Amino acid sequence: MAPLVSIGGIHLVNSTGTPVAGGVATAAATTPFAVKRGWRPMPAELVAVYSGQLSYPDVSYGPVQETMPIVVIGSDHENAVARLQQLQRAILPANGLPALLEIQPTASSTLMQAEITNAAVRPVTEDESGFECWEGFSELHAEIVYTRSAFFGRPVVQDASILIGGNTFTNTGTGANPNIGAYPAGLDGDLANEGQPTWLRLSPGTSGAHTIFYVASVYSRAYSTTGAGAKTTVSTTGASSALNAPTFTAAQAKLGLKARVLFRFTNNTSNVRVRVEMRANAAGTLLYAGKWITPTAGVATLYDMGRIPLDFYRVAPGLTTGSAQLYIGYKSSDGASATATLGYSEFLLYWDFCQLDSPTPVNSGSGGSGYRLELYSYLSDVSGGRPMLPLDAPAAAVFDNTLNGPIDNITIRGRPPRAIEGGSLYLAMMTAGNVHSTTATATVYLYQAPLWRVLRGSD
Amino acid sequence: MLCIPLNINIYERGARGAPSSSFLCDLGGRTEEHEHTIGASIGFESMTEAFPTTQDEAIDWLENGLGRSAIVYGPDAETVWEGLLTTVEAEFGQETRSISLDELANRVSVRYTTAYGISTFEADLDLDSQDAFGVKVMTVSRSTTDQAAAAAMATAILTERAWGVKKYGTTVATGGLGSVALRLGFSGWYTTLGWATYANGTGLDSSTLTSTTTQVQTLITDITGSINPFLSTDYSLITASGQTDTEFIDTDTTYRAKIEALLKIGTSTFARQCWGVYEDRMFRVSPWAGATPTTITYQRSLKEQCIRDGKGGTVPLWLVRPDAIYQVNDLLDVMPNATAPDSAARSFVERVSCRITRDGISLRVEGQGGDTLDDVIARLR
Repeated sequence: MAPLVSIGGIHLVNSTGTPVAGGVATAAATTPFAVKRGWRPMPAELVAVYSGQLSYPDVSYGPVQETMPIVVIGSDHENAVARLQQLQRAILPANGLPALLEIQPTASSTLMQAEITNAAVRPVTEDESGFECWEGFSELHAEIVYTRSAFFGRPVVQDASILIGGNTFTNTGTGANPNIGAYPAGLDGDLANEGQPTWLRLSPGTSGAHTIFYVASVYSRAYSTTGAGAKTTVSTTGASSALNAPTFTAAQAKLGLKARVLFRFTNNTSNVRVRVEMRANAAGTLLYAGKWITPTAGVATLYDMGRIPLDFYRVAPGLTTGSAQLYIGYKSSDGASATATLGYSEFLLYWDFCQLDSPTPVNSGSGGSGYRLELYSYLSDVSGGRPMLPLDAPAAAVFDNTLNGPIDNITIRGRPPRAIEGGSLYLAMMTAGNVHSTTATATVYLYQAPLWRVLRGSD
Repeated sequence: MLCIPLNINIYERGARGAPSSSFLCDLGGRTEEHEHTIGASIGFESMTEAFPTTQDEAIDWLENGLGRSAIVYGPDAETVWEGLLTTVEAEFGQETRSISLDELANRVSVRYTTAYGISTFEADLDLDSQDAFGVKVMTVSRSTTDQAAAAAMATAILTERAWGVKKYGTTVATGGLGSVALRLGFSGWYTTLGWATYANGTGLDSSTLTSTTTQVQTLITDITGSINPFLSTDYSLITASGQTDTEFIDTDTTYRAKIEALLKIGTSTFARQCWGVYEDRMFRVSPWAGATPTTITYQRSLKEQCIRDGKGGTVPLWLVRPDAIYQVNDLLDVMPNATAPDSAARSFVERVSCRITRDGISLRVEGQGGDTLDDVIARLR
C-alpha cells in the first residue's frame, strides 16, 4: 500500500506504486504524478519567549516553508503540461479556502491535513537530463514550493478526540460529580504534553440564568473549608485570617503550572472588601496580596481572586505542605462593621484559565429546548471540510438547541483550556453579580484536536 | 499572531459614543504588533494594533471604526488595557488613508471680542455627530469681530470637522506596490474628559471652597451623566486628598483641565497624587508611590529579562503599571536617601510602554521628568 499524498485534490503518489502515464490526477490509482526523493517535511519552528529562567516560555509556532520535488508523466508533452497546470490551479485558494495538503503514510490509519497559504509549481532543471518543460518531453520534473500551516491536523470527518463525554458537573468543589473532570490518559497528538486546542460544549441545567463562567485546564484542584466562616472587622486597613496550606510541590518541577485561588462566600455585607493573601507559613510574612474586590452583598457568590506567583517556591528547596499558607484579607470600606462569610476556597494549579461573559443567560430552560455554551479553540466543521487546526483567536457563543445555531457572542478573557496529558477540566458557573449556586449542574462535552508538527516518516 | 496570546476584544460604538457590549471581534489572533502605554497621571493612555487585512475590511474600519471600544485581556484573564479607537490608518499599497477623532469637533465655539471689547462667543453644533460619538468641543478665538462673522466661522469649522478629517497620502513609485494593512490607534477613556468644556464653556463663577476630591467626583458625574456617558461613577478607587480648593472654573475650561488642576494640588500631607482611568473605566486617585519610596513595587536583576514584584514573584511585562517604585537590585550598593523616591537603585515609574510582536516582548519604563530608563526587557528567539 502506497502512502497518500495530495494537494488540493491532486494525488501526487499513485496508490499502485507507479504513476500512470496520461492518467487522471484526481484519483490515487490513476494519477500520473510521483513525489521524488528528497522531500523533507519539516517541523514548525518554535518561537519561545522566556520571561525568566523560572518561568515556562510562552511558545508559538510559525508557518512552514517546504519544497516538494515531483515528476509528472503525461501521454505526451501537452498532456504533461496540462497536468502541471491542473496542479498549479489546485494549489491556489478556491473560494477563499486554502488548499489542503493531505498525507496518510503507508499502513497508517490517520489522514493528516495541513493548510497551504502560499504555493507555486516551478519546473526544474534536472541536471541537464532533458526533462525540462521547454524540451517537449512527456516526463516533466518540477517543484512545489509552498508555505503550510504549522501543524497537521485531523480532517473534521474523522472526529475530534473526546476527552469528556457528556459528564455531569455540579457547581461545587465537593461531593458526587464535582466541578472537575479528568482527561483520559494517552492523548493523541505531538503536543499532548504542551497543550492542544479544545472544543467545549456546556449545557447548564434549568436552574440559574448563568452569564459568567470560569473554565480552566488544571493539574489539581484543592477544595478546602479550613478557616471558613464569618470574618468581621471595622478596620479600613484590613485584617487577615488563616486558611489552608495548599500543596503545590508539583509546581516546582512543572514550570508551566500557575496557581490561582477562588473564594466562595455564603454571604457578605455591602461594605466588606476581600482579597487573597499568601504568607510564608502560618502567621508568617506576607508574600503576596491580591487586589481588593467588592463581593455582591446578601447572596452566595464565587469569585476568582486571581493568580498567585510561585517563583519564590521554585527557588527554595525542601518545599513541603505548610511552607506557604493561604489567608483571606478583609476590610471595611467605611469603618462600620463589615463581614465576609467564607464558605470554601479552591486552590488551582493550572495551565489555562479563562472567564466567559455571556450577554444571554445560558440554561436548559431558555428558548424552545434550551441554550448551551460552545467554546472553540480549533476549526470545527465550519465549512469546506477544513482540518481541525488551532484558531488564531478562540471564539465562544450561546447556541439555541432548537436552532442548533449561535444566537449571541460570548466574550473571552484569558486562555481557553487546552488538552494536556494528566490534566482536568475545571468549571464554575455564576449568574450576574457572581451569584453562585452549589446545586446547579451542567452536562459537559470536551473534545480535543490532536496536532502533529511533522508527519511520521519522510522518505 | 503575537507571541503572547492576548484577547484584544473590540466592541461596537454605542449610542452617543458610549462603550457597548456588542462584541465585534478579537484581534488577538491577527495583530502582528501590539503596543500600549500607561501613564501615572492618565491611566490607560494609548494603544496601537497593526495587522494585514483585506481592502474591504480596511474600508469598513475607516468608515465605521472610530469610537469602537477595546478591552485587552492577558492569558490569565487580567485586564491589560482599555480604551476607544481614535485613529484608523489604512495602507492600500502606495495609497494611505486615515481618519481620527483627534480632529473631530461637533460643537464649535468661537470666542470673540467685539469692537467694544466685550468678550462673548457663538457656537454651532452637529447633533448627528454628537449622537454618534458624544460631545467633542473645539474652541477658537477671534478678536474684534461681530456676532455674524463668529457664527459663520463656527459653522464653517463645524462643517469641516463634525465627522473627522480624512487624511490622504499618495505615492506613485516604481518597485513593489505594497499590501493592505491597518494600524489602529486607541486612546484611554481618560482623554475623553478633555472633549467637553464645563457648562458649555461658560465656566463657574464661584469662590466656594470644597474638597478637591468632591469636586473631581462632581465633575465626573456631571460629564458622565449629562454629556458623554463614558466613565464609571463608582468612586471607590478615589482616595480622599484632604485638600480644598475654590470651585471657580474659568470660561472654556475642559473637564480634564479642571480635574487636573484640582489633583495637582496634592494631598493634605503635601504628597503628589497620581490619577487615571483604569479597568472598568473607573477613575482612580491615590497618593503617589514616591511618598513611600522604600515600598518596592517592582524589582529587577540586571542578569534577568523579567520584572518581579516586591516579594520576588514574576510580573508579566504586559501587567506592569506606573505609579510604582522600581528597583534594580544590582545597584543597591549606593545607599539611597530613605525619603528620596529616586536614587541609583530605585526610581518612580511615570509611564510604561509595552510592545509585543510575534517574536518577543519589550517593556520601556520611564521615570519622572520624561527620563527614559530604557529598561528593555526582551528576549527574542
